[in-house]
Amino acid sequence: MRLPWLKKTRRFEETALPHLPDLYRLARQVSDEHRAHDLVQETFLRAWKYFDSFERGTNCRAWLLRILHNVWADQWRRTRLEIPLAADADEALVEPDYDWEDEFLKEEWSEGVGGALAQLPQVYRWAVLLADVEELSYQEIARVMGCPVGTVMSRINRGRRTLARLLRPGGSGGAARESRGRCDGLQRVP
Amino acid sequence: MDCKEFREVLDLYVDGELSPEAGGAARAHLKDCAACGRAEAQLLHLRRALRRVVSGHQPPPELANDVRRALGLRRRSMRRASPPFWRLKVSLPAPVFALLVAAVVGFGGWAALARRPELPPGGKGAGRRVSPAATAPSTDARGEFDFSRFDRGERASIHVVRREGPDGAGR
Repeated sequence: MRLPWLKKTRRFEETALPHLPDLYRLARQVSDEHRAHDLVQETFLRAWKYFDSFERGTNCRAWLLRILHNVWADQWRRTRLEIPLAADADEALVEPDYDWEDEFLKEEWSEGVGGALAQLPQVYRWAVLLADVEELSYQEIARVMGCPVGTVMSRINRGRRTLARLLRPGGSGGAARESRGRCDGLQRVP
Repeated sequence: MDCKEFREVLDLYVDGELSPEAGGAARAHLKDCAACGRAEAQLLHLRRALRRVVSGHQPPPELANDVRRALGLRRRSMRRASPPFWRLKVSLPAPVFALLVAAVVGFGGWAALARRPELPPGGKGAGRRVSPAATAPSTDARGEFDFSRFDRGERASIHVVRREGPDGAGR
């Protein structure tokens, strides 16, 4: 009865494992180095467990990102006493009506993007990273984050504008520290 | 499409989420509006900066091995947990199970009936088991052993026949 196991192992290594670098890079944006290592490892363990449910030919990277998000959310819930609602978190920080015509996003301000990203509330950070870096569709992002497409659109919109405001001269993005580990907004992932 | 409408769909346009018609209208507006063109450029510049930041974090070389090792351990534990095929439980719906039991019992009964010898019709002795003690070896008129009683369903029994020897002693 080893043959099915061997086939599954080979298929997993060919289909899922090549996405390890992408998962790690994203995990590093929402956690520190040590936790990112654990997040990725746990993600692949869970992916192996449910690999039979993965449909061949569909977007494996999106499927793995969804698992990564769920693993991250589970670990977040275990380490936090209270989970503030996403709508209430850091409302003062979120920029809903940013005007993109302020041409301050010059090359030299790109250096502060990492710090600004670390200040962004987690739900907006996930949405922006999945859209701008992982290039997932809004539908895929909604599946990864377990929320409606409209919520995804709102988070992307607000997330980008908040980043831009943080990078503005005089904003706290240029001199921002790396992730402070504060309790950012989190919506429970089903 | 005017500037206000374009700014409302700027994110969708940059992310390729607009319908073909709306995307065409947005592109047409960009051709004539420098301000909206700058807004689009800013958003794309932010996207490039984000990708540069993220790509700077490469996974450590040992991560892939750690994952493979962890998967190997998990595979072994799952294989130990899964029972061999002869111990697998098969769940059946109740009507199917009842039908299966009835079929087995019916077949067993038919097989048992098929092996039994044919009994004469009627008769008190037909099919009745007769204890050896109740029967005594019988002989017919010629003094020979009467085998016809077996046709009547009687069973053979073993009797020790004592005969007297020429010297009168029994053996």
